[in-house]
Amino acid sequence: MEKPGGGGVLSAKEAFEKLEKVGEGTYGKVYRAREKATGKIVALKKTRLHEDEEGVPPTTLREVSILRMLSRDPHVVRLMDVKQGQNKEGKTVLYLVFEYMDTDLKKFIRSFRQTGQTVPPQTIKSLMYQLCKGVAFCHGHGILHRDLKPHNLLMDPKTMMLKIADLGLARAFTVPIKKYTHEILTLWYRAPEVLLGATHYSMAVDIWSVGCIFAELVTKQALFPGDSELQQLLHIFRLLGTPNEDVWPGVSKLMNWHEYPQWNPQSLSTAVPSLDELGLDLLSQMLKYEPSKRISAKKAMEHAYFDDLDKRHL
Amino acid sequence: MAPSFDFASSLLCTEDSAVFDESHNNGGTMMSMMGVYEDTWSPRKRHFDEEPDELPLLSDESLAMMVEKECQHWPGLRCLNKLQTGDLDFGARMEAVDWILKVRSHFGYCSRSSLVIQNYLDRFLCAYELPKGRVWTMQLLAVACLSLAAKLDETEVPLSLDLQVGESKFLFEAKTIQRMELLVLSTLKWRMQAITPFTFLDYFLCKINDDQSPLRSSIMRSIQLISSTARGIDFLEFKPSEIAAAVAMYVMGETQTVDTGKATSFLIQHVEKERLLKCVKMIQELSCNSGSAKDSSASVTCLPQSPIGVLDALCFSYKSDDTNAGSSVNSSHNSPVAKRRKLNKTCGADLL
Repeated sequence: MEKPGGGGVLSAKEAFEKLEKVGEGTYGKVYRAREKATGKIVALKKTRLHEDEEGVPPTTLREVSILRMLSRDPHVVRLMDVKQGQNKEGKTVLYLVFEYMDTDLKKFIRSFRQTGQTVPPQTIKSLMYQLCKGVAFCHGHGILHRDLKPHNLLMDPKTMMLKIADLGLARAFTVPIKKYTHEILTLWYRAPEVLLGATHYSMAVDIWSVGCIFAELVTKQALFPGDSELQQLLHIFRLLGTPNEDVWPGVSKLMNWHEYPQWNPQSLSTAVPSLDELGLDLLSQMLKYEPSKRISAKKAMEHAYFDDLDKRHL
Repeated sequence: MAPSFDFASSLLCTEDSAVFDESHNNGGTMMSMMGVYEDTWSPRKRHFDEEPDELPLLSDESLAMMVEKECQHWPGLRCLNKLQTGDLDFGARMEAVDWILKVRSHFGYCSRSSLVIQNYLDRFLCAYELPKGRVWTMQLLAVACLSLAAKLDETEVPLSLDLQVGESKFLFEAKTIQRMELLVLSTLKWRMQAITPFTFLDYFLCKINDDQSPLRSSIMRSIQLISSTARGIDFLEFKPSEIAAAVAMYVMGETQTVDTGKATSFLIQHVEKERLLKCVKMIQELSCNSGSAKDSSASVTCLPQSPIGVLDALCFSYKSDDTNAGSSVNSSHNSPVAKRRKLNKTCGADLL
């Protein structure tokens, strides 16, 4: 790691040639860049530290420290370095240097939607297995991602490798996780217990997101595309039935609970018609209302849906 | 000085406010002790609306991974040696630790936070040489470590000005703290997911209780003991898993609910038996308030037992004045308007 003010060490600006801006991360811009010394293509996530603000942003701190803990899992994006530099106005800037991935799952699904083709079933199976494996790895290290969505799942379209990225909202759950307010989490992949104001998260919130992504890979459309928290809940209730104390003990005591229209559960096959029986079973276990009943990522990897998948290179 | 754990509770700020209430009602001593602090800062405890959900326990594999990884975050014997030989300023560290405990209490952070902060502090001190003779650098380091821990784990991060509550001689600007934060982060290689005894505690308590959830009182007692190990330096020689195992064994043994031999045979699958037993013995001494005779200049494992002891501890604040002339890091020097008169001229000598 480069020390501040170290003489003779290339600054981040000198070490890399920015090629193009490829996005906005949780905090700051992301560039495709070439490392001049090696010619290697990397992703640079730039975070400016405003001196009138409160130092290193919490999202950057969490992302880096968590990625330090999760280093070298093939299904979590690799953080290669953290460099400190200064921009033109002399302000301190941090550059997170990541391995570069050509695309993400959101773009991947969109490309199939545009051509009218379906994603090949074995491709779906492979991507889902890798996702479960990456999530199992995070959970095994006591890390919740909390913002799993297609945009945060990077892909190499040549090898069909998938990697989990953007851990700026991730949390260690080996400490009591307190209530979070004013969280800006993508609605479509948000677990019902979060929407209903549960004050404590568990690993199950990530599994719900995985289930939503699974369905989206099959249909190329979001499973629950709500545009407000209430609409998000109603989308869920229309398909899975309005929950009650029988299917989800404790649900009526959650903070945001009130009277909702009463829907009966529909079969998942109505929402994901082309998924086979084993896939539907796995999906249903990912979308259980009661968080403790939701399948774990590790158990999901063992599900029969993946039996015929060649896992040797995954 | 024998510590009072009622007093420890009020300072170490156990998560359960009911415990604090009980301590508070234990008599005039506690009332008068709390009165000591009213003029300088007001502890503000957050109250949780609901019973916390049970945490997901670490799986057996996760436990093994954490034990393997904890050495990356453990200051260890190297740090202990530096403190004992005087390479590190023991007194300044003690002062920083005391300040951390007070601020943590003020903001109502859970006990784990203070261990995380101290983990950062000790790892940094082992890896980086702060300029000698400038006591403000230790204070700045403590502020930066507190700020980083708050950002990492807490949902509400106070402004850097508000972080500097309590009786501190220096008040640092946000940009100064930022620069120290970056120095700490690069020195620790951004490995900030500190593994502390709390990482392992629930797992061990549950396992030696035949996979049943332990009593809440056992959890609170364990939290109290772990927090108490942090103030002195004696426990620095033990890894977090060893401290957690020893505390779990001691607490469950104390309640007579488990077979000690059975607990030992389980725990030594994860920690070395000799070190476990040594640590249990030290926990026992800490708990019984009867530490064996120790060189008081080398370590302090007891908390002040009386208001006079508290005031003695506060005397650290007035040991020396320092100027920041020529410093490479800017700071705002904020002297107390009315300097508190020293109660005991020898308080520093007694402890250093």
